[in-house]
Amino acid sequence: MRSAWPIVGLLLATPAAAADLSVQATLSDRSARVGDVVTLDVVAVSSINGDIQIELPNVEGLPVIGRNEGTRMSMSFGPQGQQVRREKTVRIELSVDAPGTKQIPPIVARIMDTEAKSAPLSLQVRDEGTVAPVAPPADGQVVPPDAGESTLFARYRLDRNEAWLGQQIVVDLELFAAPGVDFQLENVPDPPELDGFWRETLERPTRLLPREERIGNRTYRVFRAWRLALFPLQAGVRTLDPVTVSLRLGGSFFNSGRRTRLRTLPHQLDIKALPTAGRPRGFLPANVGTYALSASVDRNSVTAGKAVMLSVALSGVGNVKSTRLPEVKAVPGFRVFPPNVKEEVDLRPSGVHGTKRAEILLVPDENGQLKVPALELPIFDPLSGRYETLRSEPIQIQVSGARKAASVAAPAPDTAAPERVERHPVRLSGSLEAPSEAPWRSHAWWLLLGLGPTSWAAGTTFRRARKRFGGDSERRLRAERASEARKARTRLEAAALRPDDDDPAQAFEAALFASARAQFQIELQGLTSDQTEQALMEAGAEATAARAVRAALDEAHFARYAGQAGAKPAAWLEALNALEGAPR
Amino acid sequence: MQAAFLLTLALGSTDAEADYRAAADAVLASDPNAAIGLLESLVERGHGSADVYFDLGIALEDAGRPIDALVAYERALAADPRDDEARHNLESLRAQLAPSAPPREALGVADAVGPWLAWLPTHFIGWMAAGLLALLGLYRGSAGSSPPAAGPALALALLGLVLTGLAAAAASDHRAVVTTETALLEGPDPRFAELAELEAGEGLRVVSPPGPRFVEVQRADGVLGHVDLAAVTLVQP
Repeated sequence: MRSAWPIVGLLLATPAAAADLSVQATLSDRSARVGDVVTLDVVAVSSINGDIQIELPNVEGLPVIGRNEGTRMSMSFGPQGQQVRREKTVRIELSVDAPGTKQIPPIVARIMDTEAKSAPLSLQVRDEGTVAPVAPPADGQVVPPDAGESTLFARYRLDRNEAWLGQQIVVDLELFAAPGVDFQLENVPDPPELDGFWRETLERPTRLLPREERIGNRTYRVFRAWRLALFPLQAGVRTLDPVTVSLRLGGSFFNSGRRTRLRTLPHQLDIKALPTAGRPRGFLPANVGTYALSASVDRNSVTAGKAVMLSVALSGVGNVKSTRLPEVKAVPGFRVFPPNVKEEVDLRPSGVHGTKRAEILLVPDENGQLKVPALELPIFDPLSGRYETLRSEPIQIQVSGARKAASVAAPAPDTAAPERVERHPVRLSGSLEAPSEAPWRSHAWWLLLGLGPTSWAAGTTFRRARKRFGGDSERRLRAERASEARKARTRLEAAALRPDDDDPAQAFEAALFASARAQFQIELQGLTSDQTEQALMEAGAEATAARAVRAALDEAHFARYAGQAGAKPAAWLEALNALEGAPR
Repeated sequence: MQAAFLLTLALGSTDAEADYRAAADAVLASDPNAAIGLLESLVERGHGSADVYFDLGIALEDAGRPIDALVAYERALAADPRDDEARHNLESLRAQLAPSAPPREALGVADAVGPWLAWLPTHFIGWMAAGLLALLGLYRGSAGSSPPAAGPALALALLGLVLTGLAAAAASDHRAVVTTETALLEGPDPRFAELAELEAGEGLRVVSPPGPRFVEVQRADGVLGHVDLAAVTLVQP
């Protein structure tokens, strides 16, 4: 942070208002660069009772990006009596967007009818492009802070300033803070756009942890915002453009602090083209790094026709993703299938490490001791600055005569066919309909299957239960009918004793009907006397008893319609007794 | 809306047919990787038919992935046990990769009855048999007596159930392909004794549902054992 040069404005107020209202304005910096943030503090003090209004002017090229206000009131008691002092402070954060000299006109404060103005202020803004390039520091070092950055600054740190084309360069963005300087990061900028580089992010911590480092004659706390690995794709002098870090200083629970911005310095890189002298034949520019080449098989002894998996791996430090493995097109005595290539990239704080591996299926066509020859891969090792040819070890594979060898219709070893000629060819048309879901996988099918037996079992069980427990109701019915018959008989007997008081004819009919229901389970009501006799005989009653009942019924009918004259309840009772007591 | 739905279905099927044809063209143009992408996409979209898996097997062979090709041929046969071309390609490829492995026909119910059952609409028969039984049972349960021709109907339903049961048994016959040479163990733990050595490409019959690490299988020679799941690919996952 540059040292502050506050410019105190003169009080421009009328003599009469000099003691009533005053306003002061200060800028945090006298000069700045495009992209910086400067703070304008305005303090207005008044002894007048009322609200202080402060008018802030708009200045082109200095847009307001933040504003805080505060009001304070105090009272004192003196010889003149009670005195009130009101103070209003406004802090405005201005973004410096354009170069040139910025004039901030006087700030006007008003309270009631009183007005006061501050002195005008000016700010010198330098163009970002006019920053003088600095010589790059030694590898792994940073450019020391200038006079305006003594307590807080940001820098790139590179592990090297010169690199070969394709060589890994580790770049850090670091913040340096003097002891006692507290800040909060508002944002950590993304790494700058880097044309001509391949980039991998090695670290991007969510929490910045400090370490101590001495720069010049001062110890700083150093915070790493991110670490990248860059792989240059073009030779020449390249520049890492500056990035800007926005943060707040001196914040607390009660205020958010003062916003400021730190900008790194641009950093030059010298990317050297790979030497042409001594370049091996078949060298590919993608194969730059510190690598080792290895080849292995999953087994060294097989029977004829059994496949062997050849694994070729390139491991080390560098941009493994872009490397090319040696091609294995032909191996004597083997059929070679196309490779299956995989990458394992390990992003460590020290840089990009990794392995690129090709798995190649080999099927021997011959018996005997076969050999997978050593594989070669020319690379450029940036650490040594020389070309190297990596070689794997040759691999011996014993192919034993298989017991099935005679039965396998294999071609002669010197006429091995490149593919299986007996294979049926690809189909140009066909059905795309996948097999439908089997019914036994469907809950609905199982429910349907169980419905039949369940219904049958339920119906059978219900009918059996009704048949068994329904007999009770029949007995009850018989018992009820017998009871009715007894009651009706009792009424008839009573009517026989008091023929003048009761209606013996009706009592006889009722008793006869009840007895017929109870004894024969037939209904006689509504039948004529002839029909009654007939029905009784058909139900199994003895003929004489039936005739006696018929005669009694005729007499009862006559007695009912003749006003009970001729009623013979005793005789009727005997007829009923004969009916009930007569054997069937 | 119904017309739009049907149109969408029609367009969808047309896209699938176009992809299938394009995959075949890619195989013929010696671009098996493109064919693999198209065919795998068809499978993901629910078009896992025998023809799709067959062509996928050919593309995988051409791409130098013979084990995956074996799995694809196995899946073609699982979709249609009558697919003799898939069977032929499977056996000839297996003979090349694992010549000592027994042929596929040696295993299980699926291989014994599958090709015959495949000629029957066993799914339709299953639904019909269950439906017929349900009707008979409902009639008997409510009426207390059997309907006319109950005897033949019941016989037909039971026959349908038998066929369905056989189809279910055949479908439950799961298979696996050995992807890397491994050992057939006595039990589901690497400390068990080794029963046999399994070659890459060999076909196995899965006897019981896979455990967390091992699965019980049967070789074509009838030997039962356990194999590490990491060394096999299940044809019906």
